[in-house]
Amino acid sequence: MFDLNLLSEPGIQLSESVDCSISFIKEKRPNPTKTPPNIKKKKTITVRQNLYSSNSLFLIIFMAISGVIFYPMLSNLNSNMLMPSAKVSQEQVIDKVLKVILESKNDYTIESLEFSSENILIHLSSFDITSMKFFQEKMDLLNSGAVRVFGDNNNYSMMAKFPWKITSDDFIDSPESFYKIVKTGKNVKTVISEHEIVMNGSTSDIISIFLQLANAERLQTNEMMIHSINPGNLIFAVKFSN
Amino acid sequence: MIAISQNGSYFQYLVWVPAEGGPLIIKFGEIKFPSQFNFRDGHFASILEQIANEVPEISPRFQLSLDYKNVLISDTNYNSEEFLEWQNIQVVDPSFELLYHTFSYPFLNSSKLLNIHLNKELKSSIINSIQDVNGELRSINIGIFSAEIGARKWFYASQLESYAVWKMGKNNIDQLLIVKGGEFQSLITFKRLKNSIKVLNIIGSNQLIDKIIGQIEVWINDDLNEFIHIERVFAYSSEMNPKALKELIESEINNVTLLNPFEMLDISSEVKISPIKGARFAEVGIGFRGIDV
Repeated sequence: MFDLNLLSEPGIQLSESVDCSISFIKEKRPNPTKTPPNIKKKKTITVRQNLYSSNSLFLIIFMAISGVIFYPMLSNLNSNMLMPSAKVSQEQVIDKVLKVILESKNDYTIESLEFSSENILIHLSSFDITSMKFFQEKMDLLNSGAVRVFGDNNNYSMMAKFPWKITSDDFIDSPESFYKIVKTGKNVKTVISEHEIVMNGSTSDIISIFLQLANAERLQTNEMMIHSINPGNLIFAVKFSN
Repeated sequence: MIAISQNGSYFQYLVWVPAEGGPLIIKFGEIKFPSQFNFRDGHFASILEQIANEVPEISPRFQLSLDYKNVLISDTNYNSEEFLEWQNIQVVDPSFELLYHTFSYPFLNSSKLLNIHLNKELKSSIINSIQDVNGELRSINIGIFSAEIGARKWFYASQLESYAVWKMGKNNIDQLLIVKGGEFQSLITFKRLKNSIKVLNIIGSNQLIDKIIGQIEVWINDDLNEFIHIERVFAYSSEMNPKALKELIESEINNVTLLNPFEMLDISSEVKISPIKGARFAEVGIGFRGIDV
């Protein structure tokens, strides 16, 4: 078990215990009762100090944890991954995504799947590098490097990013229009808000909902996101479009 | 050596010296900062000064355990610098790296990383305060991780195949740190409800979690004789009046130990402290890093 010591150099800690102290001890320590420290001395106050207010700190903690842990969901940032060329059709992309969904129970687990207005981000995990590599080859439409595998010691992850556009104007803009297309099943918990519908259910229930949307050709109408919350359960959010 | 643990505006400190029979506690106590505490504006220097004045004969060498709320914690499924760099480019706002240091600790046979994100300005403020009192800072640790060092040093937990440290917190929100085979396994944050447990966050492996949480639910609803999936559970609370901790100890579960350093350490003073109050000092475990008790 490692001993944390945040005085060490940042980065990956290779040793379980690090000795790195910071000392301002003088040879002869002044009597603290006679020479109180200048604890009221004015220190440079920067704008960043405002971040310490409790509300801001809570916001930072929430955003940073969300950013670090759920990074695939938030990845609308410019990527340095090479993107497939525009020659890749939406149909080809849908075909790949459906393969991801349908084969997910066999060789890998869906960690997240996000349809944004500009791209589709996929994050899968698996214990088997062979199947992961095989799947990477199948997914990598133009050998562009937009599908990458990471990991070692029988724990692997695949990230994929495909170009995507909301092309249809037959939007799902309300719970009513959603339920015209989809039957969610009694075991799916649903929360409806002004801007989205969020469902929590077993992997098979959520995949069923996803396939109903695909059959109704509504994958290209709305932004949506699937995310794993624990083994066997997924959250599926569909954002209402106006 | 002066070990300090912070819990909000409260600071527990414990001063020990080496003796023939191991560390000998010569002073301990608790200081509450009178207003909303932050590490700047001389607040922390004021706390250090008060503690140092309690033991003027001791060099002001400090080991510090910060309140868990001062850091951000995440995990990464892959132990790879390349992956971390790629991940940062993809998802992390550039200003995050300007504001935070990230310390990554390998676990599960070095396959994964536990990441601690510490605000750079906070670290600078701590070091400035140490300078203000002409002191020395040996290490900075975090809440329950510091208590885990205490479990190892005071109760020889490292001789066990598996163990957990359970911090019973404010508003029934607890943390559970699981160690298996000498390695960090997982850190779970959960809320104790009336008849059940709601898991709020999991860092690390999911292994064992359902079973242990299930047994905590059994304890809440009924009598639990023993945690059967973990060799020993060390429990403590930093709260002023930890009713749940009292109930847990009074349940007399076979393999639950109160993480009270005063039970295992020699003390020079006549001052007595109750076991439950003694467990408030569990997070000064960092002060015993690297020594044999």
